[in-house]
Amino acid sequence: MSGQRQAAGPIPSPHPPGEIDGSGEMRAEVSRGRDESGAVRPAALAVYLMCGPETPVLAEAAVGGGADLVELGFPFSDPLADGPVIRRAAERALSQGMRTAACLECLAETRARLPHTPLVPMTYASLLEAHGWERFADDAQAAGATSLIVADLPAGELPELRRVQLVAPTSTDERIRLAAETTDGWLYLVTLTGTTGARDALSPALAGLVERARATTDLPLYAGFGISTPEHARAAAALADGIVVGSRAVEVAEDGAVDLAALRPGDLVRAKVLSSEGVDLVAVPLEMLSASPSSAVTRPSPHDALRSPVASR
Amino acid sequence: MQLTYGEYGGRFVPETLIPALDELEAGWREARDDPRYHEELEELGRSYAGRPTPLTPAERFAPGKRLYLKREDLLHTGAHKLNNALGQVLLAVRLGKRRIVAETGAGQHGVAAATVCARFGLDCVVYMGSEDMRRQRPNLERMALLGAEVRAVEFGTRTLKEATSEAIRDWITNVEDTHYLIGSCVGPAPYPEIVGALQAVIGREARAQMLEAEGRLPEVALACVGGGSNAIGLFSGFADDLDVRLVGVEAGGAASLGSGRPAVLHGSRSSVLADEDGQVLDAESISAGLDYPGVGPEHAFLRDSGRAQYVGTSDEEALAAFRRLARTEGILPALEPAHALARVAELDEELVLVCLSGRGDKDLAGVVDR
Repeated sequence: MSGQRQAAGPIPSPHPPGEIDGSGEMRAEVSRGRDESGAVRPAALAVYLMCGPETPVLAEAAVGGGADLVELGFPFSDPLADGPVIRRAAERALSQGMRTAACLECLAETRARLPHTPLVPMTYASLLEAHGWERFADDAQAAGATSLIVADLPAGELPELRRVQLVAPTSTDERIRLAAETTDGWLYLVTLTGTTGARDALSPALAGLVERARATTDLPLYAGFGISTPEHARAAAALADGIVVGSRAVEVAEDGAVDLAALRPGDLVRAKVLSSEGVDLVAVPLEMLSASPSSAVTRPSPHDALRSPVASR
Repeated sequence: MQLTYGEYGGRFVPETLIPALDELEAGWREARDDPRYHEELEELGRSYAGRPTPLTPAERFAPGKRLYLKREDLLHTGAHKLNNALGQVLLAVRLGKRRIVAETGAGQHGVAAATVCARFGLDCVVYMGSEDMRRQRPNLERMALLGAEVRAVEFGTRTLKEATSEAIRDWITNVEDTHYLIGSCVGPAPYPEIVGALQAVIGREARAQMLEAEGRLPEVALACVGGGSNAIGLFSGFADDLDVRLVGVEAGGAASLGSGRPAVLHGSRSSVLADEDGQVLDAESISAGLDYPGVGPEHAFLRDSGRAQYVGTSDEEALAAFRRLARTEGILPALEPAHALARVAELDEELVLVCLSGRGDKDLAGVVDR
């Protein structure tokens, strides 16, 4: 049903035909849509990482492992939409000095490593208020941002700020329409009523939300919040055009220098969803990361860099 | 419906809450225009809460002045917080909500929330920072006796700021059956207006009582400001009396208006203790109720417009005023209004009104230790 759906706006389609990374062989069989050339197309994977000294390397590893888009968290002291994992990551990042200027640098470094990947800062209104709304958008764009997500700036507020809008299961159809009309390229579907973080099961509210959003817009729909296992990812990818893995990715990335070196950062996104007829999933369970061979990472191994003193916290 | 105050206020919350805020706004509009809502609230005020509260002259505390205290400390549960809690619980019942979530700093709002939930048979969850649980132990025990579940907030500052964030996160998660009973005139619209309107009874009564006692209005009206709800309630009674100077008194270490900057905290834009990147700073006050880096958006507007002035009081000055009121008037104030009392002696004006927003029983351990 999604054959004609295309990413609009400045965000490149996450799956240009033929451009396949290290996990490309896993993508071949797929999935939920066909692009213009008739090639099948898997659900896209967005990975959220908190800005920090090692984030550009982690982001590169994530893309090496199959991520199509990277959200970069600019930490805020009072993040209302976030559960414990991202909240703690924000506290840690702030204690490491990751203020707005450092985050913009982190974004620019990530962009230098990943010239073709959509990079989307995700943050809160207070940072934009302090930096200047327009100036923040300009500086982020200059540093390589593809778009912007502001978790506490709902659709309708500050319409002149181009950004990816979020909709939630509680959103009325009218608000979904408003969000779709003003969003920047794709729509972020919050799968549940709640904050970010792992849940036992994928929210049953997602299916209804997808259905209501599809009735309103042809834009790609990315589902996020609470997607923390391959099973969740598979179920979400059967419904949406993309999935966002946030807290789980942050957790894997933060397990400390030893764990970080032991696991292959690229594998943290091997939950990459490849559904065949909407059912099959080829994914390495996140828990098995440290045991998996280095199939995903073909470029100079990012985890070597993670052994450097910078990453030894 | 007032959603913004000049450049302050607004709704800076995750999308999940927007429909709930719309519902709340519609429900409030309906209640506000419904005489039965006001009758019910007034009846509860009379027969349950103890309104009107008296106006007490306090001549020994401030020789050479004519000082009057608006005695919200004599309200049921011991603070002005009950005015707001009663009004909001009636609203929650109208909206069909069965569960109440609230934050608390000093514990006075938590006690008020627990009280109205007991009275109306609703479930009540109160978030409280673990640091505040330590310094306001009596209120913790009161909330438990009233049947509320108190959840400790063990991260960040472990005070009101974090308790408020956690209460909002709970609301985001349980928004369909839960009403967020915010305790001050902060938060996303329409909360600042709702809380301000429900606390306006303080100023209405005080104005009439001053006229009765003195035949004229006070020259100056003072109230302590944390989030600012007792102050906004007092000030609103004199909003159009431009000869009455309005003074808000902040804790020196939590002067959101005195040394804050525009930032976004807990759903609204206001004057906030924040750094140049918009990161919210920790407040620091002996008084748990004032220990908050934000303030209601209407106060920021009143400051900018010049209609109200805001000054600070140190911990030591507040403690001295606390002891002085006890010794000279036989009244133990809460540490929060003791901040306002500390500024009385230096005023140029003679006829002074202070909102005594709460009683000091909760603070005894902390004061005796000092």
